[in-house]
This record gives sequence, structure tokens and C-alpha cells, in this order.
Amino acid sequence: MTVRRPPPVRLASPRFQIPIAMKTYRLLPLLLLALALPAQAQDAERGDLLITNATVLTVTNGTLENTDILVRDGRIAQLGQGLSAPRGATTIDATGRYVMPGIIDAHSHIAISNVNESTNPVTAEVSVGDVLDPFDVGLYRALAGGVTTSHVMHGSANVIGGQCETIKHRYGVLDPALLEMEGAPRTIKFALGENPTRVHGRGRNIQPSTRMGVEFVLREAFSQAQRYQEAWDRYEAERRTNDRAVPPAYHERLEVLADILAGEILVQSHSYRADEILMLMRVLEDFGVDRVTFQHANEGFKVAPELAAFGTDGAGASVFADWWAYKFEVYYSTAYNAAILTRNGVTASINSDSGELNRHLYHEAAKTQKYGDLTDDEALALITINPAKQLGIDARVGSIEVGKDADLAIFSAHPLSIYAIPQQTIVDGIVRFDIEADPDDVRLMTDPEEQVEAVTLWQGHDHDRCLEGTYDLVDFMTIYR
Amino acid sequence: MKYLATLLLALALAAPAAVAQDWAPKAEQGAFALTNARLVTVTGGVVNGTLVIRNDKIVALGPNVDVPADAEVIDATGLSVYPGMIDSGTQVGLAEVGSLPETRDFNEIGDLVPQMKALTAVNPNSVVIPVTRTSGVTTVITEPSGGLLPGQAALINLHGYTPAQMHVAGVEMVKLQFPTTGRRGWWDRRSEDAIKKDAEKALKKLNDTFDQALLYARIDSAYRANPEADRRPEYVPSMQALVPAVRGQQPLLISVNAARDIQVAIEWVEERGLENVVFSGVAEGWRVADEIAEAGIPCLVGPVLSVPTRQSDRYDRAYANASLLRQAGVQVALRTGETENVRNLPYHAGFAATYGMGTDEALRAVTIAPARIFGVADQLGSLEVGKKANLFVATGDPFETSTDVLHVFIDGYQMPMTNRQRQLYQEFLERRPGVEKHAEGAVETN
Amino acid sequence: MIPRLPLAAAALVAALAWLAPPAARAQADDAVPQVTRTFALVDARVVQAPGRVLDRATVVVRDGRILAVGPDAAIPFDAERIEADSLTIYAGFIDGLSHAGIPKPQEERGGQQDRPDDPGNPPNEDAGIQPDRDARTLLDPGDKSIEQLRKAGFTVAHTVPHGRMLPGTGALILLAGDDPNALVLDGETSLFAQFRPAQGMYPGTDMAVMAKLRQLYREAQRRQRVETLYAANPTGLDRPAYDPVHYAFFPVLDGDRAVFFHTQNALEIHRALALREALGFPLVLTGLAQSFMALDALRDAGVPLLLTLDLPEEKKPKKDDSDPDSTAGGAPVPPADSVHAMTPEAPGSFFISDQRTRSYEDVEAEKDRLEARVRFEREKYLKTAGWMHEAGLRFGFTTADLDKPEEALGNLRLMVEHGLPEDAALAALTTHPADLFGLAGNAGTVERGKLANLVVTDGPLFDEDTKIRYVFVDGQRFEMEEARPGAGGPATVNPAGTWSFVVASPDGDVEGTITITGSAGSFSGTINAAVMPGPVDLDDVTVSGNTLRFSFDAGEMGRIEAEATIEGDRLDGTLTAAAFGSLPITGSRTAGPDRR
Repeated sequence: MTVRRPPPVRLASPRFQIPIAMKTYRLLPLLLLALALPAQAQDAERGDLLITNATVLTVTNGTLENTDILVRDGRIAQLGQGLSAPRGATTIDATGRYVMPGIIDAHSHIAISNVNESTNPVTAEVSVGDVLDPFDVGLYRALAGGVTTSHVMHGSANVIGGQCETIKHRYGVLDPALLEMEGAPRTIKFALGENPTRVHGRGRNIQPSTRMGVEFVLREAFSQAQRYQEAWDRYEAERRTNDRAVPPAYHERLEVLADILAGEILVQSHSYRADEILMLMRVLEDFGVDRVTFQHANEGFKVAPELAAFGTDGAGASVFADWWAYKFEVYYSTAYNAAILTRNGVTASINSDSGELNRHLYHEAAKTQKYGDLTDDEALALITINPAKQLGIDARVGSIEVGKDADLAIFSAHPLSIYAIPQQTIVDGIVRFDIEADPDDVRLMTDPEEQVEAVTLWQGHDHDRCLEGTYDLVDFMTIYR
Repeated sequence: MKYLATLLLALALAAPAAVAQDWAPKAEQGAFALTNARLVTVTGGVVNGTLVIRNDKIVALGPNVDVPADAEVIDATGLSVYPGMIDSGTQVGLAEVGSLPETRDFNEIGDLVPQMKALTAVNPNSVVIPVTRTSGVTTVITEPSGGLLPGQAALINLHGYTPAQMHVAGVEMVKLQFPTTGRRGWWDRRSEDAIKKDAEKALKKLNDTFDQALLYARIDSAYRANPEADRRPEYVPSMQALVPAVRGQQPLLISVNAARDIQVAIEWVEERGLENVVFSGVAEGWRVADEIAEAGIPCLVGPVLSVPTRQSDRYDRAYANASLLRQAGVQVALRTGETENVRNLPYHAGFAATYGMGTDEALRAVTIAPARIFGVADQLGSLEVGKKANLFVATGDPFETSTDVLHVFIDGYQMPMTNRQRQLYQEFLERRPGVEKHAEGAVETN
Repeated sequence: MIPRLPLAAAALVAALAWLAPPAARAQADDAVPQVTRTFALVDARVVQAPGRVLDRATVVVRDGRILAVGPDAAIPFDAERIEADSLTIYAGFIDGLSHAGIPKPQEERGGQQDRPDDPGNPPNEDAGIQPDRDARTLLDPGDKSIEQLRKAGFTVAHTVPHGRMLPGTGALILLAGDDPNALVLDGETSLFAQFRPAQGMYPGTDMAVMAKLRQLYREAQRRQRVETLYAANPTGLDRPAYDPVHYAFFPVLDGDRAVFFHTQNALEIHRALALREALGFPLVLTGLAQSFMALDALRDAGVPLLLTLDLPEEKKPKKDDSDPDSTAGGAPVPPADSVHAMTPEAPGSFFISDQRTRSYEDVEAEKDRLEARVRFEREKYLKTAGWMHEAGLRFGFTTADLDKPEEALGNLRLMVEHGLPEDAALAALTTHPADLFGLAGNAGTVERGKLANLVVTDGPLFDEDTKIRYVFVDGQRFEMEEARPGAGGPATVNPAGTWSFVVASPDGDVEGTITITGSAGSFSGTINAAVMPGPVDLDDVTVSGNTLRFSFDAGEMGRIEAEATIEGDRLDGTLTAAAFGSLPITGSRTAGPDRR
């Protein structure tokens, strides 16, 4: 029998026909992304809405009593009194209620399938944005706590971990790309101290096993990226005159690192101790990177003046309200951290890093009134405009201002009161949580073969969900109490 | 925390001698009069007036109480006095730094080690303790964890320099980690069947253990009735430890969470004829609240701030659980399950209050309710004459984060209102030097 | 009390596990010779292609080709005549993606491999990056999967290597043949990819698999450029190193070979599409079990699709979990109209939203609802094929996720029952994959000149009671077992009786007996052998189709799992001890009710 070679399974993808222009194809993903963005933006549902007679906590412009908020096409169109709803738009009577900007969680691991690619101390090329999971019920639970935006992060196993993604809690969408907050700056996770040294040093006997080693993993990675960039720049120059110029090897990891050095990716570094915070600031200064947010930064308060003085705008710190003592590097912590940072002029935020805490970040922020007497606006800023600044999205979200995204949380009482209950949470003008229409079963997907649903018992906070994906390497009990 | 700012100001203005004194302030016992106070007694309503402490006890309270001549007067105008809060499930003193095994003393090797006593391993000088008690939490259950019978929990006050000084009324309870059909966390990837099998195996082991304990108790009774008659029984410490529980002389603390497990536990308790048991955790208690109420088993519920046990559950189940149990008629006390953040007990109570329980009932669940469950209601849990002076003075509702706790008394000792977290605040709020070590223009010299 | 194997026996078995070559089957049955390669199926109903039916026609097959199809087709002198007036003839099915004929590698057994020295930079082979591997080099015509698929009506399969993220290139094979090369219709038909990270080394997660694929693809683009430059004029240029991994991408870069991306769930569908969006490779999506959650994306992508024939099992509530008072099974299944709108307010949403104040009083109702939810969820899988068809998506099928190929036809009928038109189902089995693989001139329909790949049934294919009587592959006839009750697969056998067995080992055969008693659902039994101190009870004795499974405790050896196929009074299978590996076992029935 003779069988002819079949005609190839061929796809007429016009993009595929883009000639492999040297070096320009490095930009190809970006170009494609740019092409793709408008489509995504169109797809993300935006709503019209009128909220009437609310106490509006703008965060940036004080409190407005008996105020209406008009939302058109997912944006805040007008603040004032006696506003009327556009035809067909929903009206929410918020008499006696408080409206604050949708809460922004600057550190989360929800809605992603992977947390750590823990096989190498540097994995800049991976991105949790590639593995978003819109079916995570955690998105809804956070909505029920007023959260509209989360910065979902790679874990802290590696000195330079993966890229992170800023998402909106558009729970109900099925396409993972629709969770992405379109236009949000790229961010990347770094990690200093105990976690990377435990995973790589003590887990595998490779550098780093000390904070000294962490510094040089960073310096080496950045130096390689500089040389990589130079090689491509040389090639770019050469090929103008030489059509036989040979392009240097392509390296996805170094591409990303080069982008960090070019200031295109915001560094978000897991860190606890004051010394390692200072170290990273030195390294970044040496490589010309002038924006960084320290995540956790339990000892940020010890170097608050240095944080405030970093770069042009200061370094940010995104901290816990009161977590401490779960490992040695957080033993000398204080719940006054956020207050000390704030008083020293550091842009501080309070994050969850937890699928439990992220449901009551308003309460976590309120703790700064017990621990450091922050004002209402200062406390609210910690979960709204400040994390927005740290993520480079403050022009879009983080306060109630005309022109900003209509990401709003409506509470039964002042959100800093323990008695406040979130009533509605609105993303892009769409009501994504409404306590009056709260379904009992919000799962978008269930196991078709699971006869009885699994019961998962709460075992206290996984303080190191950051280390998920590395548990084959580290003693369970060193992570879990 | 407005009080602290005032305190700081006072410190800044104070004479050096005063600062030296404050460096390591000591707890003091004596006579104290809290005057013009709003006294939230819990058992007797709210009383405006004076509360007098002498030595370890409340000796007087009411609107027309005379201030004793020797009493230190604390003017509590505009302030509220509450009984010290009791956390019904913690590991305070048993762990210092979570990730360091050397500092973790709550989990002994072995599945059947009910003889292990948390009280033995409580570190009275744990940094956690002052951090906790300055929030108004004066008393906690601290408990071991691990296998089926991980040891004995103890009720302790958060002040004292020896475990004996901390121990409240000798309260100890053998803890039983009831075999569970639930998953222990996201990392628990056992199959449904494997979980079930493990639970069945554990239940059989539990029954065998209690059979032996009963036998041991019988031998023990026989021996004690006539100790000269024969040799001493075998030394079996685990069984010895279970004797008070099987005889009902001591409550058996049963940690159980999944609805199905709770039902099995109730059945087990009834089959065994155990009269004196307390449930702890009870995360899915609301699903079987009627059965728990019918069995008359008190519940130490919490953590309140936790996630629902099932993906399909409403988001607020954990917040509402305590309230739903209470509404069904279950005796409810609250627990945080925490170690270093037991200071958040008022906020766990606050969430329970907000999601259905109401402030008064939630307050009872962290004061008089646990006192009754642990059999110490004659000493703790409310502001009453003759009770121990475990109480705190606050600027308002202790469940609100804007409220400051200004004074804490434990066993009549006035607690120094400091802890390491506050000390770090004092040191670092305005750090010296700031960014520059020397003032600009100054010449650096070696 | 569990009897224990004596240590010597345990050691023996352990040694066998490591050393035993695939033992020769104890008795090779001599096949009855076939005297002609010409067949005439006379007076059959012939479904030549979807929608094209001859009610009464004869199909003549000679030397592997269809010689004639028609009411009056001449019957050659050397034909074996098959009276087919009660039979229906279809074109042989084409499996769009499987591992047919490729034995499962040993590494798939449990046990952790040694950790690599540098888990961040493991050798490509360990990391599962083997795009240069060719399915044709891995074929074993004796592999059980070939026969299993054939029994389900498949005659041609696109087969790909087992492995991790990039297991190799696929081949089109005939599902019958005596030597590996005879199976091959074509090679290098695809570059197979899947979201299957390496274990304990890079890429250890899906996100790293994606990053690695981008890296490989873009570096391949560069190397192709360098190759081109060098080929044009090597003077002055560094010689490009031999690099089979990157070179394997060149045909993909040229648009000559598609990446067949296997997806297990909706998220993987989106991820594969995102990679295609970023890199622009020709893509065929396979698996697609949850495509009901991604129909829009699939429609927009317009890539060829191969839908899994695997469906979720129907789980009945277990007895000990169900309350006798509960109305489990009676609760209404929520409407399944909407597959796109998933907000709580949307009509047809499957959010369950009318249990506002839930406490213990509602728990039973809750249980019913949750069970209804599971049933509803399963229905979505059953309806997916129909929904895809409605959405205008053309697709073929893949058996890659099907543990038991004998379930293929039964599952297909479920899909038809749930909305997939019969013609569309048949097209997905035949003409569509034939087009996809460029086989349209040679397979996919019952037409003169095409390969003699036929499925002959005793009734309409999608009827529940219809059985496959013959499958022709490349003109070779395979007669199926006499029809027994059951949907598509072999009927359930009764294993009861006494079996004498032999476990083949290099140190000699281990002989013994297995006794099985009881009836369906409650089998029990014992195993005994000369090397054992006495009979040991069998646990979990189950029969599914003609597959017998049981396990037993072997003392120090741990638990041994047995799986064997029963054909009449013969038994053929393996014994597996998790820690050691597998040994072949064969046996015959010496007594029992079903003994012939």
C-alpha cells in the first residue's frame, strides 16, 4: 500500500507569517499583546449604575455626605446630589450606607493554578498571569469582603521568582484573560531571606543559603541581563550594515530581567528583615532601578527613613496588619509597622497573602487605629490608593474620583468598624457581589465525579502559602503549625 | 491608641529617673479603685460607679461604693470596665517561633500521649504573653495538638512566673483529636476513600484505647480500695492520664469539625456514656446544631475568622457559625486557635457579633460562658464581688479596633501596659539617627 | 491474621520484578490460517459517508483495498462471501490522538526518581523535552492498545509518544500489522505537546511549561535564521551546533507541521490558545473535555479540534452516605440552557440561590441540591459534543484520555443521546479526521479505491443494542466476540471457579491456584502457590467487562495488585507490587460454572 504524504495540517495564521526579523521578534509578544488588548477591553463587561444618598469615603478627597455616584460605562462619571440614572441603569439606594473605593489587595495567591516554580533560584521568565484560574471561589469570597483588585503573585521560593498579575475580581467570567486588569504595569516577585535560602540552600545545597548569597544571585542575574542586552544592541547595530549578522542566543529569562533594568517591570520583593531590605535597595540603585515595593517587610519600620528616601518617590512597603512570630525573621515585628511607615512618609499598604485575610482587609486596615492611631483616611489608604500606587494603577483605581474605574464597595456601616458588613461590591460598574442576592453555591465548576464534596478544615493561616509548590523540599512542620 | 501617644509624650517629658523606672515596669498587687467607671459586669448588666480591687479579688462594685483610703484611684470617667476575656483554645506559651522546631512544644511524638501536659511546657516568659494580655485577654486554654490523644490542655492566666502561678483552678482537660473525614488543608491530597479508611482506623484505635482505659480505671479502683492486698498495677502513663476523663471527673476536650465527624462524635460520646465532654473547633457545627444542642455538649467555637469548610458554602459560614449554634441552644464559647495573635480574640468575637450573635452574646462567649464550661464561674467571667480581679479598662467597645485598652488586671495584679511590640514602636517611630547619622554639615570624626 | 509470604519467596518475586524480560507467553495459540485476502460483504446496508447510505449493496475488499461498492458489485472468484443482509457497513474509525501501539514507559510506575543535581537545568530527556522523538520508533504491534481500539471500531490512529511537555512527533498508524513498520501510514504528522510538567525539576509547573515552550520556539526561530545564513555561506560564521530539539521545531516554524496540544480542562484550552497567540504556531487542540466552558474562545480560534471520548463516570450516592429519608435522585436538575452567562442573576444560571437562611434545618435539602449539582455538571460533559456542533465547530475524536477504549462507543452514544447529531458523530469518527490528516483520498469513507478499513455492525451504529461484528483493517478481517449484553464493550464475564496460574520469571515459573467464589458485585477468593505458606485472601475482587482485578497482601512485599483479561477459560495479565514492578501472569480455568 502506498500512502502519500498528507497535506500538512496548516493554519493560515497571518501572525505566523510575520517574517522573523531579527531582534524585532523580541518585541513580537508585546506587539501581539498590544493588538490583543483592545479586544480584551471590549470583552470585559462594563456597567452603568447610580448609587444614591451614600456617605462616600473618597479616600483622597475626604468624606462626602448624602452623595450620589453616577457610573457610566464602568467609570465614575459624576459625584453629586440629585443625579439621575441613565436609562436602564440600576439604582442602588445607599441611604445610611458607606461607599469606599474597591479594596486592592497588593499580595495574593488566589485564582492561579501555580504559585512557585521552585526549581531554580531565578525564574523570571515564568508568569502566574499565564495560569490564571477564573473558577477560584476565592475571587467571590474576596468580593464579599469588598475586594475588587488583587495583585496575584508568584511565591517566594526563588530570589527572582515569576512575574505577577494584577487582576480584577470579575467573578463569573470564564476566560482567564478577562480577569487581567488591562493596562496594569508588569510586576515581578523577588524574595529575600529565609524562604529562598531554605528552598535552594538548605533544600538543595545550592546558592543561596545565606543572605550574602541572595545578594549575589541578584547581582549575577542583573549583570547577565546587562550583557545580554548589550549583545542584542550590538547585533542591532551590526545588522544595519551586515545582512549576515548573526543574532545572539535568545533567552526568555534574560529578556525579562533586561526589562526590569529598563524600568518596564515593577519589582515586588518578599522581604522581612531590615538588613535585606537595605541590601536590595543598594543592589537596585547600583543597577539603576528606582522603583520597588517591599512585600511583608515586617522590619520595614526599622528602616522607614531609608525606604522613604529611596529613588525619586521612595520605596513602598506592603505589610501585614499584625502577623508575626511564625518564623524567626518575623520575631522582632510590631503591629505598629504600618503606622511607623506612614508617619515616616513611606507609601504603605496592608495586604492579605491569604484567602482568609483577604475577606476582611477593611478590618486589617482598621487595626492601624489600635496600633498607631492612624486617621480614617490614612487607614483606608492602606487598602486603596496606596496599594494602587505601589502597583502603578493609581490613575485608574484606589479612590472615588470622577474618571476612575467604578470599582466600589458598599458597607452597612463605616468600613473601619467591626460591625460593618459589605453589602455590594462593584467592579467596572457591574455588581459582582450583592448580599441580597448572594447564592449559596457560587462554584462555576464542580467535579462531575465527586459524589460528596470535600470538607477542608481550617488549620490556621498558611503563613507561607508563598512556599506552595515547594513542600516536597521542606519539612512540613517548618511551614505549618 | 490615643492613650499610647499620651504615654509617649509623658515619657518624653518625664525625668530620667522616671524613664529608668519604666524600663521594666513590674506588676503590682494591692488596693485599686476604678472610679466613675462604666462597669460592664456581663452577669449583672451595666453599672455606673466604682469597682474596688483588693489583693486578688473584686471586693466591691456599684454606684455608691466608698473608695478605701489605701486604694490607688484610677479615674475611669468615660471608660468601661470589662471582665478579662477568655480564649477557649490557643497554644500560647507552647510555641515561640512557628517555623523553629526547637521552640515548638505542643506536639509530642506518639498518637496516644494523653499524659503530656501543656502546662509543663508553657513558657511563662514568652514574648507572646504581654503582647496578648495588653489587649484585654487575661486567660486562655492552651492546648497540645498532634495525634489522636495529644495531651492535656490547661486553663492559664496570662501572668505569672511559674506555670503554677498561671494555672487557673487546676483546670486541665485531656484533648481528643476526633478522627476526621475532612481534609487537613490544601496540601492534603488523599483520596476520599483513603480519608475515610484512615478515619475508621483511627476510630477503632480510639475505641480500643478507651476500652483499655476503662479496664485500667477498674484495676486502679480495685487497687486503691485495698492497696495492701496485692502488688501495684502496671505503670501505663497514657492510661493513667485517661482515668479522670473516663470517670467523668474531668472534661474530655474533643476537637471535632466536620459535620459528619460531629455526628459520629456525639454517637460515640453517648455510646461510651461520657457525661463530661466539651467540643472544640466545631467548624461545621451549624449543619448539625440541633443534634449538638440535644446532646447538651458545650462548644468552644472557632476560629471565627476562617474560611468556609466547603467550596459550596456561603462565604460567611465561619463568621455565622457561633451564632447559628447559639440560636439552636448550644452553649458557646469562642476560641481563636491562635498562638501569637490571641490578641485578636475581641475581633473574632466582633465578627461573631456582627454576623448574628450580637455584642452582648459575643461578649458572654469570651467571658462568662467559657468560665462556666470550665467550671470556674465562681472565680472568672464577670465583674462580681468575690471573683478574681481579672478585668480590663477600655475606652469603649473592646470589639472595635478604635478602642484602646488602658489597664489590665490579672489576679488583682495591675499589668504593666508594655510589650515588645510597643517598645519597638517607641524606639522606631522617630528613629535616631534617621537617614543621616550626623546632622548635615557635621564633620565625621573617628 | 494475614499470612505472610516467606522471605525467600518475597525475595524471589522482588528479583523477578527487576530482572524479568517481557516473558514469552506460556502458550502461543497458533492462528488459523486465512486462505484469502478477498472478501465480499453481500447485501449490506452501506453507510458510505455521513448522510450517504446504500440500503442494499455489496462491498468487495481485495488486497487491502475496497475493490467495489454497489448493489451489483461483481464478486471475485477467490472471495470469502459474507452474508451481510442484516449488517451495516461503515468506514473504519480514525482516532485523532492516542498512544496506540506505544507501550507505557516503565518510569510511570511510582517511586521518586533521584533528584537531579541541578533541578533548574535538567537534561532535556529528564525534563520531558523530546520533540525530536519519533512515534514510529516506539511502536510495538503487540501492544494491547491496538487490539482494544480495533475492537471499538478504530482502524487508523494518530499515535503520539507518552511523555511530559513535548513527548515527540506523532505518526499515523493502521491498527493491525505484524511488524512496527507495517503499521505506519505516515510519520512526523504532528508535534505533540501537553501541560505535563517535569517532576522536581524545571519545568515543574504549567507556567514554566509555557515559558519553556516560548523559549524553545523563539530560540528555534533564531537558530533557523542562523542555519539559513550558514547554509547560504558558512565563511566567517560559527558552525551551528547539532541541535535536534530546536530543529524539531523547524517544520512547525515553516507551517508544515501542527502542534497538537492536549488539554484536560478549560484552563488548558485557554493556555494553549494563548501560546498560539503569542507564538503563532499552527495548532490542533485535543482533549477539550471542558470545552463547554470555552466555546467562544474555540470559535474565535478556528483551529482543528479533537474531542475526548472520555466522559465522567456517573457516581451513584454510596449507600452508607445516603439517608433513607432523603429524596436523593429526585431533586430537580437545574436547567442547562446557558453555557456562557454565569453570573448569579443570569437566567439559566446554575447558581443555586434559594437557600437563603441556611442552618441545620436545610441540610438534607442541601445534600440533594449538591447531588443534583454534580449530576448537572456531568450532563454538561455529555452535552459538550452537541454544543460544539451547534456552535459550528468541526471536530474529530481522541481516545487519549480513555482508560478503557471499550467504552468509546458507549460514550459516543451518550453524546448522541445528548444532542450530537448522528451524522456529525460519524463524521467526527471518519471523514473529519481523514480530512485533518490528509487521508481523505484513502480513508474515511466506504468508496472504491480506498483502504479496506471497515466497521461492520449488526444494526445502526448509535443504537444501544448494536454490536460490532467485524472490523477490517487494511483488508484484514477481525471477527468480534459473539455479542453479549452491554454497551459497546465486552460483556461482563464471570470469573468464578478455580484457576491454575503461572507467573513467568527468569528463575523459573511460579505456579499456583486462584479460587474465586461469589457472584457479580460480591466476588471473593484466595490465592495460593508453592512458594506461599498457605492461601491468602484476595481483596477487592472486581470484574469490569472481561477485566478481572484483585489485590492481596504479600507480607513484606506489601500489597500486590492483579489485573488480568479473561477470554473464555484463559486468563492473561500482570501482578504488580508497587515497590517492585510487574510480572506477567497467565492461567486457565480448571473448574467453575462458566467453564466451557
